[in-house]
Amino acid sequence: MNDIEQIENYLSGQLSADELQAFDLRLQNDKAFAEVFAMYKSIESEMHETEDEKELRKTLSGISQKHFDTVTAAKVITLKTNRKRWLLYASAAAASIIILLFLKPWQQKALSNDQLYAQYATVQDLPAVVRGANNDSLLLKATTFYNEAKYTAALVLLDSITMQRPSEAQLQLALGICFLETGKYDSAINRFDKLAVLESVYKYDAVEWKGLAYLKQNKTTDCIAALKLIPADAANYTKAKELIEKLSKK
Amino acid sequence: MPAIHPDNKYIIALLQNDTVLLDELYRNYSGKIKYMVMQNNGTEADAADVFQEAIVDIYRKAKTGFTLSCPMEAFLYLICRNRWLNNITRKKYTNVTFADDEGYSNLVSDDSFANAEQILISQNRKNLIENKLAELGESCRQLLQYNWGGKKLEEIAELMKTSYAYIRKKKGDCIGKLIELIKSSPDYKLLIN
Repeated sequence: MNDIEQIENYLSGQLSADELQAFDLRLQNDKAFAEVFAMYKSIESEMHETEDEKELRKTLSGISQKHFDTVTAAKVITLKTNRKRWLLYASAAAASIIILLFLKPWQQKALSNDQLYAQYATVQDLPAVVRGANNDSLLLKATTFYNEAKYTAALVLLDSITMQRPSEAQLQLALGICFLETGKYDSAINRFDKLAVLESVYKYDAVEWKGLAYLKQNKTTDCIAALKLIPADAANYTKAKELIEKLSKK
Repeated sequence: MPAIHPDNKYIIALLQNDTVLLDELYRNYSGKIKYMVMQNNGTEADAADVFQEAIVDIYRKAKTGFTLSCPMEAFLYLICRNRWLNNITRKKYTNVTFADDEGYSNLVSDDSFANAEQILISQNRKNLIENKLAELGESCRQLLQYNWGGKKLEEIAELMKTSYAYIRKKKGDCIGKLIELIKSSPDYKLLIN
């Protein structure tokens, strides 16, 4: 038995009583051996990743995506899109003024489901994530299409990307929204359902989007039923509650 | 016993995998860390990494029974700063400022400082092991990483299409080699004390 084997047998309790005594004696007298023993223990305790640690890392990466925009190689691209984005904001502002004038909310007229959809279906931009993986350029393209609301183009790319990265909830959600925005309601709801049963920060976003998918199809009752599944401690609870109230009034 | 700070709720959230509070933790503190890292030669992706690993560090400490006796912001800042400082000294960056860390350091209680120090030692140990691991052959590296990632030796044997007895012996050899490599480093005492 070499030193490492002895240490492993010792730690896993496989030494006989005699061997155990000899081992302890050697630890006291053989300084070099005692050092190897200490190093072995340090290595195992530092490097072993426990199941709960893995679980935590998973939770954290999900949350992290919301708070860090991990742009690296995409720097140039974001600079370029910034100007466009400004235009987008300006036109969005102009559009909302026009919508506001058109809808005349001060007249308290009930909004149609289409109008409610337009009001509540706010698509969040995907962050320009660029990491070291192979399909990054693909993801970059998909992200650009998506953020420019070119959903048909984004759909094709996201479909193949999510197959390779099934665990990335944010991309799955974006794919569902692409399906929804291009009128593929069953596929959209299917995606949202899958996300809604997983523990991710997008869980209740998915539930909300499922409701919105029904809203877009004019299925008011189904929409309300879906939205009611959002619990009070979810970030989008207030928004969902507001929409339920508006729909119930009709 | 030092007094428990109300921010200890985040430590409990970590132990309970409470996503709502952890999201709040990110919302409250990620900005400061982002700023610190990006002021000191880092990217936002670096900051995300430092932040996440610092939280895992704190989690590991929390599992051994640790209570927070100072504001989370100051403690987290200290852990992240140490982590990032470690990172940039390894990459030999210059032009490092860490402008506002004096203010934070004053907020950290004594026992939290001691805890932060232990976390730093643990980080340094890990760095040393990882550096030496990189010098091992591919098959050893893979075997050890599988094992540390939670795979049992039986599973690894199956994955590598070989016998359990062989993998068990091989793992011992690999650890032995790794220890030899670490011993050749001037910092090897880090793993002993």
